[in-house]
Amino acid sequence: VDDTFSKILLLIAVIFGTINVVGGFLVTDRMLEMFKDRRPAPGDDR
Amino acid sequence: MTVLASFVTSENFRNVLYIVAFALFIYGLSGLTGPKTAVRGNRIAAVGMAVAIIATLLVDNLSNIVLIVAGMVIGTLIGVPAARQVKMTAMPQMVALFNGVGGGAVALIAWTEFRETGGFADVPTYVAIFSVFAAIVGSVSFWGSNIAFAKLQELISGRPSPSGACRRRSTRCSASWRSAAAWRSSPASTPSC
Repeated sequence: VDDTFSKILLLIAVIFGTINVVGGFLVTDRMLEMFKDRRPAPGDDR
Repeated sequence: MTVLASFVTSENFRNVLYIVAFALFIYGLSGLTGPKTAVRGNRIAAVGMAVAIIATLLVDNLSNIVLIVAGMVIGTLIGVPAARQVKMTAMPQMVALFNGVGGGAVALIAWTEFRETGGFADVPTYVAIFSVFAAIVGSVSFWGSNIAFAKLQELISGRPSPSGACRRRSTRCSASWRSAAAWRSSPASTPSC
């Protein structure tokens, strides 16, 4: 890709895609952490 | 080019990495089926995504690598603090935004494809069909998610807002908008139309 306008579009696309991937996995991680049972189960040595 | 470099950038090696990536996706997704394994499953899927991105970046003679890396750095700098710092009560809006930019990326790629191929003149028909499909779905995701964000953030009214053809032919469309609203407010029921 050589055209400047196309480069700008694709730069925004890469930024958007990275936000989507990084943000998506991180918020999923945060939300799933809330479902963890905080009381240690009997025999659980965590 | 050294032997190692030609091996790493070979298509076979990349395909092996893609197999590793989708194996991690499937394994991670199976972890998401239970609350005890879900956190681990999500992280395994994230590793799979990292492998897939690295594999794609290994394409030989990748042009504009500086712009690609710059985009990934900027995206990370925006995405990580946004995901980390957002209040749990504001999470639905944030998810809407993250979902929207994914669609936006797809639409922008399709737009560039259109520009770079003389309006799909230089590509096989199936490529043109899928690119148009990507442009439509990506645009709908992007703008739809932004409206969802604005509603959840209470920047605009949460009521269904008819637009375009619906605004002009109000009687016919209002019925479908009402049933769509009813369906959205109670996901268990189906639209009556």
